[in-house]
Amino acid sequence: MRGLPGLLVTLALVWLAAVLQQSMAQRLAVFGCEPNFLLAVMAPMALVSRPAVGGWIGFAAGLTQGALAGANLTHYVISRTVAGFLTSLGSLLDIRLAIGVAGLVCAACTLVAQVLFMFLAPPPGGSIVSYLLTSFGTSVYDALLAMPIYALIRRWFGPQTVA
Amino acid sequence: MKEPTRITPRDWLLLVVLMVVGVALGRVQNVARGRGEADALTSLVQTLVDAPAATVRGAAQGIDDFWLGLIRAPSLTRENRELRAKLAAAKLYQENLDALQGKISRLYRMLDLPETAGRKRVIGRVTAYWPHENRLTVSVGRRQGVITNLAVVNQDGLVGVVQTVEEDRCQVLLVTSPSQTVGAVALRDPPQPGLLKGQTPTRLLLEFVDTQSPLEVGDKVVTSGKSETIPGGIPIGRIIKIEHDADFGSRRAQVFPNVKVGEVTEVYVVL
Repeated sequence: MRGLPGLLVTLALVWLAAVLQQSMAQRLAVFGCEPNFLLAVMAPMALVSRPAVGGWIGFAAGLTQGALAGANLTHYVISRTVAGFLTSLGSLLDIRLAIGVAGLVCAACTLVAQVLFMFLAPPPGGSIVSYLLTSFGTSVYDALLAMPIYALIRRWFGPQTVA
Repeated sequence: MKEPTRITPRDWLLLVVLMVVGVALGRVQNVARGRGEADALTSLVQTLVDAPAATVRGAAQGIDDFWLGLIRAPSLTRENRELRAKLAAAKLYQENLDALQGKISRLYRMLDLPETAGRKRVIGRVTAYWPHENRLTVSVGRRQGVITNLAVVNQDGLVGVVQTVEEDRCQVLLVTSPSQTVGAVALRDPPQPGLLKGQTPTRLLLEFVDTQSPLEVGDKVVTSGKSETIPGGIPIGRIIKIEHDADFGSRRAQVFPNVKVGEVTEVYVVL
């Protein structure tokens, strides 16, 4: 994504995801697994951006989610920035990903972000297995959400990578 | 000019810079939290998101209610009638309670003791629940007289303690958080005091001062009241397991909390 339109679309999508995260995530929980709208939006955007931009998008998503949770910003910012950066490496391949593949990449991005977060802020009570299971559920949820978002972003900003 | 198709040193440098900024933001946030406040960035993000999120939540709830009303109209009408009857009874009970609390307050004043009974409460709506962080955001703040370390309760008992306060909202650290410690007593004769720490959403740990204290599974646990901000007698939970560590001479009990945090929608902050 490039220039002012890219920046505005990024900010608008992150804000929209934050609003949905705050208002709808708990309501849409299935077997205790909630969607993570911020990651579901961050991953497809990172996938069409250069690594530097992917890092920025992850930073914005982490900052927003940490602030909303009133949690330690460092943990959210670092885990999301790294995940955004790694996801955007996909853009360097310079190929047009199928929607399903993009969904899988987005699921992997969610898992990476959640696992990094787990190392930075271990879940209370040491319930690592249940945390990982919930994270897996969230990544599946996010993959389903990310596919149409990726299709939309690709249509707006083209298949090429751009920063 | 065509974009580079591989990762550049500039990309790596930016990644490091963003991570360092993340650490710095965390430090700023911790300093503000130490003062019982939210940092400016957190406040800004919450302000930008809270209002539209409340609108979306209200709209979604409205749609839910509409369909529920269509499907369950007869049972809802019956339930409504029963609740009105219960409300009338509760009002009578509240009048008696107010009279008794007034009497207790007068007696405390006569004996020159610090007053705990009859404290004011403000009702707040839970606007967000963050299970991983053991935190709730509640829709009352400084404007309503909320300060840090106040007890937050609902009809089942202690929900948590106010950690940071802003103008119209506050962050509540749940009683189930491992970083939360509250003075508590197991209701025996005599009551057994101890320190209660959160562990998981379904388990708290109560460490007793007296290692020979008589305890039983099923004993009720309430707040001790040995605090300026948290009144005594607020229900917390029930003992489900008692552990005795002979090596360290310690005694502790696992407590199952009364409050189901995931279902909490309204709370009282005890001023």
